[in-house]
This record gives sequence, C-alpha cells and structure tokens, in this order.
Amino acid sequence: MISAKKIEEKIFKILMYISFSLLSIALVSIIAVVFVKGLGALSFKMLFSVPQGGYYLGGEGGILNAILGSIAIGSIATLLSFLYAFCIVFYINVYRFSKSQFSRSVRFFLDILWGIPSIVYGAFGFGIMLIFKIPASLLAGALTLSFVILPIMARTMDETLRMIPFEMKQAAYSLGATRFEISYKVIIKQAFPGLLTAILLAFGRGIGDAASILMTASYTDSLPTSLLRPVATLPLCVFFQLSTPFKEVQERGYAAAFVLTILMLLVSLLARLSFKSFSKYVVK
Amino acid sequence: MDELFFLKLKKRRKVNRFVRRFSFLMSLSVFCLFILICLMLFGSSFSLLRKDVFGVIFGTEWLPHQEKFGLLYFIWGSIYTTLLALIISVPISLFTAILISEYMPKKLAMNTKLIFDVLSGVSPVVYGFWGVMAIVPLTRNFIQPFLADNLHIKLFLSDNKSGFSVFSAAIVLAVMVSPLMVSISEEVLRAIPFEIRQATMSLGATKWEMVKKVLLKKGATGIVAAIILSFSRTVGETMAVLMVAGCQMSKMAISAFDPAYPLPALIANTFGETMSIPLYKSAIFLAAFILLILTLASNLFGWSILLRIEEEKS
Repeated sequence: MISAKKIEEKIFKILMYISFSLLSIALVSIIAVVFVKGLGALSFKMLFSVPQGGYYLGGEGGILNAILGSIAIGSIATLLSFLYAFCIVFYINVYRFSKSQFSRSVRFFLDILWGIPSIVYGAFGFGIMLIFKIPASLLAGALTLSFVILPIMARTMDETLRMIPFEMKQAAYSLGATRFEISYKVIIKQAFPGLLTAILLAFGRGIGDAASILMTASYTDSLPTSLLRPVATLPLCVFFQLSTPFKEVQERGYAAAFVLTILMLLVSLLARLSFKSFSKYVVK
Repeated sequence: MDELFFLKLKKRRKVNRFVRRFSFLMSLSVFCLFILICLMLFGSSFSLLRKDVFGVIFGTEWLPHQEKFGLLYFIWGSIYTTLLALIISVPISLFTAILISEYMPKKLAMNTKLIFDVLSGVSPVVYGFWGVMAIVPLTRNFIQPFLADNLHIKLFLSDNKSGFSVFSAAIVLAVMVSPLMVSISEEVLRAIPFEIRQATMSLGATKWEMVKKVLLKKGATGIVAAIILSFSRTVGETMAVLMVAGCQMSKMAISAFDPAYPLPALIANTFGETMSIPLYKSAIFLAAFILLILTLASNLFGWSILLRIEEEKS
C-alpha cells in the first residue's frame, strides 16, 4: 500500500528535480545563446580590426579595440589592487595575529566593501573625477576597477595566508628572521598557489565588470595607446552595440559577448588548474 | 667582522620597520576608503537633501530641467524587480539546494556546485545579453500573451508589448542570483549535524519529512540570511537590468509587463547628462547613496544572522 507520506515524498522530489532542471536549463542556455550568436558573428576581421565609421553607425571592422582595452584595463586594475591587497593581507596576518581585533575589523570592512555594488564605485570614481576635473581615461577606469576587485583579491589571499601553519613561522622566527623576511622568503612560497588563484579570480571579475567603468573609462573606437585616453572594453562593447538598430553593428556585440565569455571561463578554469598543479610544491 | 654583522642587522631591522609602518597605513586606508565613499556620496547629494528631503525621496516627478527630482518611481522600480526576482528564485534555489545537499551522491553534488560556481562568475553583461536575446522575445511572444489572455488581473495586463519589462528583468536577475542562494543555503543545510538526521530517520520519517520538519526548521534563520544577502546582490545589479528592464519613465510600473526604471539603471544612464545642472548631479549621487545604504543595511542584517548561527554552533 502506498501511504500518503510516500506520495508527498514523490511530489516534492519531482518538484526538486523540476527546479533543478529549470535552473540548469537557464544557465546552460546562457552559454548556448552566447555560443550560437557569437560563433555566427566571429571572423578573422572581427577579431583583428578596429571598428570603422563610428561604433554606433558604421558596420565595418571588428572589436580588437575592446579586446585589447579589456585586457589592458583588467591587468592594470589587477596589478594595482594586488599591490594594495598584498600590503593589507601581510600586515594583518604576519605583523598582527590573524585573530587580533585589528585584523578582524579590517576583514569586516573588506567584506563591507565587497557588498557595495559596482555602480556605486562608478559613481564614487566619477565624483572624484568631477572634483579634480579629470577626464575619463584608462587610468581613471583602472583605479576605479581596482577598488571594485580589491575585496575579492584581499579576502581570497587572506584565506590562504590564514591556512599557513604557525609552526612554519615559528621555525623561521627561531632562525632570527624579521617579519618582513618571513613574509617574502617563507610565506610567499607557501601561499603561492592561493595568491595566484586570487589574482586570476580578481582579473576575471575585473574584465567582466562594466558598471564601474561606464563613466570612468568611457568608450572609444581606437586602440588603447595611452593611459590618459578613454578606452574601449568588452562588456561596454556588448552593451553599446546591442542598443543600435543596425544588424551589422549588433554582430560586433555578439562577437564581443562570445569573446568575453570565453575569456572569463578560461580564466576561471586556469585559476582552478593552476591551484591544483602548484599545490604540489607546498609543504603540507 | 662584528661591526659588519651589526650593520647588516641594523639595515634588516630598518627595512622591517619601514614595511611595517607602510603596510599599517595601507590597512588603515581600508577604513578610510569606506568612509570616503560614504562621505563623498553624501556630500555630493547634500545640496539637494538640504533643499527638500521628502520631495526628493517621495516625489514622483522627474523633470531635471525644471529642477524636479522625484526618486520614488525609481526606488519602486528597484524594489519591484528585486522582489519579483526573489519570488521566482527563492523556491527554485531552495529546492535545488535541498536536492544537492540531501539527495545527490557526494561526488555529483561537488561537481554541480562547481559548475554553478563557474557560471555565476560570468559577466553581468552576458546575462543581460542572454536576457535581450532569449528572455525578452520569450516574454513578448509567449509568456505575456498567454498570461494576459488567460488571467485578466491587473498584474498581467499592460500596454507595453515590447517584452522589455519588470518580468524579463526579474527572470534574468533570478537566474543571476540563484547560484549564490543555492550555495549559501546548501552550506546552511550541510552544517546541520548528521546525528539529527539519523535520529529523525530512525523514528521512521521519510526523507522529505526529515527535510520539512527538521532541516528546514533548524536551517530557517540561515535561509533567511541567504535571501537577505541575495536581495542586496540583486538590488545593486546594474548592467543586466539596464539592458532588459525597458527603462522608460512614463509611469509607475504596476503590471509585471510594464517597463521599470531601477535606481542603478538611472545612475548608469544619466551620468553623462548631469554636467550642466548642479542639482541634477546631486540627484544622481543621492540615488547612489540610497543604493549604498540599502545594500549595506541588508548585508549587515544578513551577516549578523549568519554570525549568530556560527556562535550557537561553537
């Protein structure tokens, strides 16, 4: 005999499978749409030439400016926020005890910064630029972006540094090393896989973010040649090109979405793989 | 020999001291950065706040050239899209989390979580792209006519036939935020001790009964925290919403198929025009400030719940 509770179990199990498959279908269809639309628009010319005749109207040319711009702004922002996060994370884990009040409050504020939406950073950066009358440029965009990815970078690095066994530091102290020497001779090597993951995660997040650089880095048709000029980026390329009524121009948006997705998946994959392969050289 | 040694030691300690002081300042600057963001946004919107606080926050007229800056419709647009997104995503995410943590074999569960994790890292613009390409046509051609024909309630009736609407935005946001909600609630469920499950099962409960009567009750606070944190993530989302929600200022969005104009989209869209009118600029910074307060408050609330759970455990 099938009791009522068995039926209830069945119903809810089916509901679970339905919601799981709905979510999976939605997520898979994102990748599918990007691939189908993007592959159709992809060509040699698309990847290796700059747009001709204005990004809004002209149909000729490709998205090289956006690809190079995204990589440039992403790497500069990652470099800046890495240097910043590096100081913070080593200070709260080496110069102070990881569990001290000061370290905990730095972590708390980093979490708060993590929760702030990137459009607010964009408004903040734009406001600063208005006060000092700085025009939109690659450097301004990279600075704003570096604040957006700072919490991700710092918290990921922090998690690795906290995992380092205390005995290892003790051994180094007993040899007479200063805290600075311990940082760069012992801890960096032990934490290397984690640091690399943090950099890649932050870079992946950085190239995907658009709201913070919408006003600070603006958009342009030319290649990124100077730090003080506006720069084109892939997310903004998708956004701007999709809003035009012309089919040929929209194709560029499709291609940009495809390149952006591939780039982000690649970085994410690389982060996981490199963590695994470099973990071999770490003392367990 | 001795002298050389001490010289070297002196130098090493000097370097150490310098690095300590420098990185201490860098760590302090994290607090400063946060305070600076708050002050900047508040200071820039102050000239408008001083003039007329209620008129701005509860005003409905948005006519920048006549110096009328009513933000109410934008705030409403944000809340409407966010709540609808959560209504769609909460049951789906919760069921998925239960399925992953209770019913799936461990290895499969790990891989599923990994895939969700990778996909949630995809750029918001790509979600927006997907929204424009897939969800908007789907809404325009199938969902909206179907619901409007079969259910004659105000929620589903609208003059807007373009598909760019609250509903489309909510679907895109729901898909965006679901991986986060699944991963938090799955962790909350997993943290419940195994002995409790054993005890419940040994009393003859079915697996679903155990989930319903024990796990969901024990994990309720954690799940609430997951929902609150998802709210804060959703409310600040800009690009996807900007591309899909329609962004027209015609009227207040009542039907799910009306276009909406949420706060982040307003900020992103009007940045460029604000140069000439000083109060206009203040209004945009005020919108950013409201957004900051909203996300900050919900994050703090959500974290305090999660923290309390962790303290109870230890």
